Amino acid sequence: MLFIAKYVLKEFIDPEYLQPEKFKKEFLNNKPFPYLELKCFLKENRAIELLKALSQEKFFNKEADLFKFSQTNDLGKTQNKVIKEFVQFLYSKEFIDFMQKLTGFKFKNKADIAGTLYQNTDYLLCHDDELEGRKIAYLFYLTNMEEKKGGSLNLLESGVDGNPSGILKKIVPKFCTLAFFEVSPISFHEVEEVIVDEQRIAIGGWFYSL
Amino acid sequence: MINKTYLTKIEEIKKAFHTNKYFPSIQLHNFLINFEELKKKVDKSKFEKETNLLSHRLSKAELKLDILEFREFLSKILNKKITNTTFTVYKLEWKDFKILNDDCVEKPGIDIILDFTENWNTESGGQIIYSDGSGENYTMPVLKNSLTIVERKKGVQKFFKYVNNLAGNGKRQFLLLSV
Repeated sequence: MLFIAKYVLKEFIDPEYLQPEKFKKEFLNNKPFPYLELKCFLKENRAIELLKALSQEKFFNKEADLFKFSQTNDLGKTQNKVIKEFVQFLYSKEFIDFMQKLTGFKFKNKADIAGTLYQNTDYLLCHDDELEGRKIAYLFYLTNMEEKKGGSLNLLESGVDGNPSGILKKIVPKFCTLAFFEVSPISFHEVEEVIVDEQRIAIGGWFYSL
Repeated sequence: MINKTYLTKIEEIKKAFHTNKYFPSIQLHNFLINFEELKKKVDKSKFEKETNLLSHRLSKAELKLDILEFREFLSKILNKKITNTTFTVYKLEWKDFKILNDDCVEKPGIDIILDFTENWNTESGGQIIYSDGSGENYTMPVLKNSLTIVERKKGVQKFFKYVNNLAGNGKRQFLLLSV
């Protein structure tokens, strides 16, 4: 079984990350709340084919008071072979175990998954992501951004009143990076407005508490 | 102060305002005769920046428009005596917004908006948008020297759309009074 588990993970993730326990302490101790940014996490060939496959999916404009961006439908229902394989990897016992060991949390063996696209003027204002059962919010970045171009995922610390006060950590999207954080009443975060004619593409969603 | 055309058509305006039973509203163009003079006053307002990342980021000031003609005009249109004409002046610049927030729920009422925004690209955001809570939104056009009157029925809330980088150094300014 161990061989199979390693095999599934090895297919998708960089060998550097195959021992999740190594990163648990860092995850739990990170401020303003538990998060990790694992650079070069996804194997490059997988990320390239995933990006190509995602470009075949339809993105829908989403706009409300809090956000403006584009999103695919639930990728768990896609017919695309490459994306299906990735979804199977994400839902696999091996990857769920990996995430459980890394975070110390217990998850259901199903996650939400969708593609997101931010273009010039798109943004997501500050919020906490709290919704029943959500435990980890995750993002696989499939494009590179530079900080000055916007699109950073900003994690905000809370003031004494419990409200978000300032940015403590900026995660600038980098190809193949996996970023995730614990969803809690203080997991205030935002996606900075993209201010150039470039595309910020990612696959993301949530893992749910068991 | 008020474009004379409107002073002679009060009944028509009242009728137009109430035509939409679900979302009573009206926008009157070229409303002020002395727009430039009032604009100078608005520009000189002592704005204070307010930031609460869970609800809003914007600049505000107060401006009293104690003009009998204006109060009488509003009273006739709305069928109610308007005595307080101290408006909140809003200034929205890049990155400013006001979102819907459960902690700041507005009671039903009437919004009176005087728009002092010049040279605004609507792609920049900053519009006042009314939401009825069921997903139906009404976006008020940004129009220099317009008076907009909106009746907020139960459940209708408003937000100011995020101002994006296309605004550049531009600013969106309007006066708002809720009665």
